[in-house]
Amino acid sequence: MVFSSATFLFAFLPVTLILYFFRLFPGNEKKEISKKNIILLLSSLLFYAWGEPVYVLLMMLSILFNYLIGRDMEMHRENKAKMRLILIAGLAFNIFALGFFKYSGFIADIFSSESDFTAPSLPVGISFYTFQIISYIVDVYRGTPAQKKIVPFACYITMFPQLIAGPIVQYGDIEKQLYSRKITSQKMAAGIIFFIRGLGKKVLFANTIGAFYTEVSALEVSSLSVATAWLGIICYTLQIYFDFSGYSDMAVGLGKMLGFDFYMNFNFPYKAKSVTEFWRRWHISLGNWFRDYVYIPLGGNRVSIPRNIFNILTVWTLTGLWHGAAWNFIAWGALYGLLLIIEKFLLKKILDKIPSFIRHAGTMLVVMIGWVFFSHESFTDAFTYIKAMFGLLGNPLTDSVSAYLLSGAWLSAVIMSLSAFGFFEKLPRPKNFRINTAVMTVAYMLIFILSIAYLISETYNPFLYFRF
Amino acid sequence: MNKEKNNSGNNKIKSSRGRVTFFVLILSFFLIVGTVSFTGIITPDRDFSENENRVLASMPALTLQSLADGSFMKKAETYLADQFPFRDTAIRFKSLVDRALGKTEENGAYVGKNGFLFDKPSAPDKTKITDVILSVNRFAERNTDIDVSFALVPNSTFIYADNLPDYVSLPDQKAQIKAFYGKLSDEITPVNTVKPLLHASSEHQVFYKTDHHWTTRGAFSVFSEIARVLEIDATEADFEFFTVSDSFKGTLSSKVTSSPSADSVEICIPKDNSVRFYIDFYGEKEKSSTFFYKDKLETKNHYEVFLGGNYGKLTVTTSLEGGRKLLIIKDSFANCLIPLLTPYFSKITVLDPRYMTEGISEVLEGDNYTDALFLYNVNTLLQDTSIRDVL
Repeated sequence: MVFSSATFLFAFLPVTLILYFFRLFPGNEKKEISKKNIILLLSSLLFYAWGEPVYVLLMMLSILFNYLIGRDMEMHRENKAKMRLILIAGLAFNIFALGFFKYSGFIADIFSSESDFTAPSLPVGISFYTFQIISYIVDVYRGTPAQKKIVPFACYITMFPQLIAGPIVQYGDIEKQLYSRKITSQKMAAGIIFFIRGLGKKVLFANTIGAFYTEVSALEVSSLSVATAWLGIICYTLQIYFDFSGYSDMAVGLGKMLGFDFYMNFNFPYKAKSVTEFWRRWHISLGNWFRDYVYIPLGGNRVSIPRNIFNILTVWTLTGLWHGAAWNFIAWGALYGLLLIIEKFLLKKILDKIPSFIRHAGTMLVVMIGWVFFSHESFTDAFTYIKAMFGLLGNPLTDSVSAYLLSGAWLSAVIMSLSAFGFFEKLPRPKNFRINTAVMTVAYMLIFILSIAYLISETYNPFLYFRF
Repeated sequence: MNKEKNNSGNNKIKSSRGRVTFFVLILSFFLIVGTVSFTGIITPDRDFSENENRVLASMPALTLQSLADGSFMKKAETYLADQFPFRDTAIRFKSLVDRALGKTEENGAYVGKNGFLFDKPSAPDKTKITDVILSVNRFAERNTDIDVSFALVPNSTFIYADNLPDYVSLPDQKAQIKAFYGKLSDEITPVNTVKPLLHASSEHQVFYKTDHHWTTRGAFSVFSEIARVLEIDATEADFEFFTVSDSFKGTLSSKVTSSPSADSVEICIPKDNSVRFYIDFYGEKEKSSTFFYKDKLETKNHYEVFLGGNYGKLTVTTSLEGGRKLLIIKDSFANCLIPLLTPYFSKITVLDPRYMTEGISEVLEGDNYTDALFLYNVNTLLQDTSIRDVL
């Protein structure tokens, strides 16, 4: 199930919230939270099974196995060597499961292009929940007490707000909330605002601007005029940000509505003035995960410079690979690794002296070129696209395609860019708290209604007698 | 980077006054969700959407099989979206917003000027069109006793190019038609369609604004040219036009939900009705003595007033004895033109390759056709290959 669907908004969500907030044990907070957890777990399993009726069993199996791994480690808390062994077994199981479902087809292709191996279909969200599971067993290994009960543990893994597209919540950050969480009207209101903002980002912004990129991507890459190539990648840059951050905002919002606090996953990444800063603002939970569970265990930056460089490259190649089982994602990740190394060891002092708008423009350029690799599976296409952007194909600067695209997309692109650069947050707000909240309420309800109209329109499916 | 955190700005205030205002926000959110859900539950399901011209999804049956393969969930999602209580309003609303943002395209249609909507043509496949030319030429070579002519009709995007949205540029259909005619064998007579349509367009509307078809006026202009090629003696004075509808909202208006315009539909019939006829639909429909199905004016697609739709094969047998016999191989553009040809032939067989169940040789067997006319619009010819499979 996706958040931006009538099924979720008008069937799943209201029913879940009613069951969740219905007080079965008034006065007994402990029992009440257990009941809430059970409702949360059941609804999350339904949420997942709605899209993956078979793989839900795989996820449940994985939860059971890792619960037992956690229990087992807890029992051997005194015996470091034994714990290590259990941890390695757990990691092996989880990485194997992820590898089998996500990468087996890719690996088979590397060894033989004509192999008969048919890769299994990818279970939705496996990349996200596997990382949360790894976070759990590593945190337990590092000293966090393992979960005694399976329900709160299963809640941590399956919680529907973040189950299929993050943010990747680290176990240590949420452990306490599994047992005690307060739902205040303020938190509920903040949750609703986050949710509506995310829904608007996804439905009003990402889908609209994405349609323009779809048109560009349908064209022959070698025929793109300079302006079309730029317009295309600008649209894609906006689309991927609003799509992903919109989904994260919805997740954070739903989490708050249920009483959980997740960390923000995006913090205006396109405001960044360096690549390093970009990655502190883009998909923050993934960056943190790699920092805490790969980079630091490898020694982080408290090692020799060559070793540090190796660590950075490893982390970023893996980050690329995490995004998808294809060479272009690996290249995209490795490219960022290289850029971060260059910034860290060569440009650090120089960057400070460059005016900030140039740094901003430079960062955006690098990020957009990154998206070219991200969006083109073939390297030939990606390089041709970049050549088209810089007029190296000998194609005209503009053509009828770019003029047509521009006429349809410019207003949307301007509004969305302003939003991505944080302009709307800088608008003056009424000083009076009540008026401010009233204005916000009206604005967000309008966004909500508009988003509903948009998402229903996407199912518009006229039967056309064109062929007749 | 910390200064940008907590942009919602609201989560800092913790007064009782604040709680009341938060309450308004929470209440409005759940009011919207609740209203929609509740209205959805109490509104009876609609079977048919007039706007979308299709049967809407109904609640799927729950079986173990449909649960396991996920088809139940997919159908349930479609069901909920199809039966969404404010569906038509929502769709129109979005369309208006799109227009305001400068978008001139919707569901594969261009929103042009002066109320004109246009079909966005898909890119032609060069190998397919070569196959089509080969099979048409082969047909002419095999049937040297039949006079073959070909009328390839441009689309409204060409005739009314001035009304396309700004910056839309499409392939030059005049050149495409010329190139196509150039590849036909010498046995086949090409019919000039561009000139009469352009000429007629100065006086009449030759294409519908809301549908991809040509109007009866457009068809008539090309009919005059066909008559010249087929050596039929027909002048405009021999025919009469009647308006049968002025509320036609065609295919394109289904794609562009905020389009306000509607078209008139005219029919054209010979003044002299001494030549009588009947139409055989070969079991697809009852035999009939009229080309016009007035009941179709009660439905959405008024263009179906001509012949009542499309059929793989139909035959018009007239009271004109011993006259010429015409074979028409066509798409739906021909439907409003066939009535005009009727008085001049003793038999007209109309084939629509897209729906044919038999091959052309079976149709030709036992009948000596004197003439054959191919009648297609450019978009269909470039996208449809059934003609190749049949010939």
